[in-house]
Amino acid sequence: MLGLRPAAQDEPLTLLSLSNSVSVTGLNLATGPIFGDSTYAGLGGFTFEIYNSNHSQIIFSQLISTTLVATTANNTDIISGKVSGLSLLSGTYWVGFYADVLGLPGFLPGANGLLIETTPHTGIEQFPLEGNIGYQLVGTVSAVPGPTVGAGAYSFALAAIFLGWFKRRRARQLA
Amino acid sequence: MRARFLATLAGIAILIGISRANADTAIYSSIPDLSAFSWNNAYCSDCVPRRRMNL
Repeated sequence: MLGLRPAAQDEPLTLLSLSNSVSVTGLNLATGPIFGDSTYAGLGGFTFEIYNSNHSQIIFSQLISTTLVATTANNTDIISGKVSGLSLLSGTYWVGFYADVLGLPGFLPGANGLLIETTPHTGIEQFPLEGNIGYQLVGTVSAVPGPTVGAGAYSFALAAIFLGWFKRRRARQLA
Repeated sequence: MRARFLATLAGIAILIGISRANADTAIYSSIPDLSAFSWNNAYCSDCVPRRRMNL
């Protein structure tokens, strides 16, 4: 990537819509150098921020230590990091990745395609951006509406335990 | 005997449920493939946005 030293500070925020409650334990991020250097902010760590639905308030912020997963197309890298203590209810949030000179490749519209430029750590929008930032959240889904395979296993387990207890009790009563 | 068998089955079912619940997987992706960057725009935190990338 090419560029000059920044004249202003910016923090792109991307919309995150969750249909289930989740516990986030890690993330993967597509990033890369901005100034043509082999080193860049991504491998030195960055601040991972979650804002509320209208990006007026930071509800989670954590400094993420990262490792390189793979070097990918067009001088970009995929890096990963661990996240601790983050549980989100289903709903809408805005997500930011911030460090001094952290390159964030702009992908063509993905899952939601909503991206804005903001003043760092304030959520104050400067202007909308095109495309989307490439990232993944890793963790567990903690509430899934409707029946699932896991829920079926739990129901079966409870039914089997109850049946076993009931049969033993009946056998004792008959003896 | 039958009760023991059922209890064993119950234990297995619980273990399957626990392992499914605790498995860490990708729960959200903003784009389908992180490795497939092809658009020549890049954004930047703490610098002027929309840098042209060196393709």
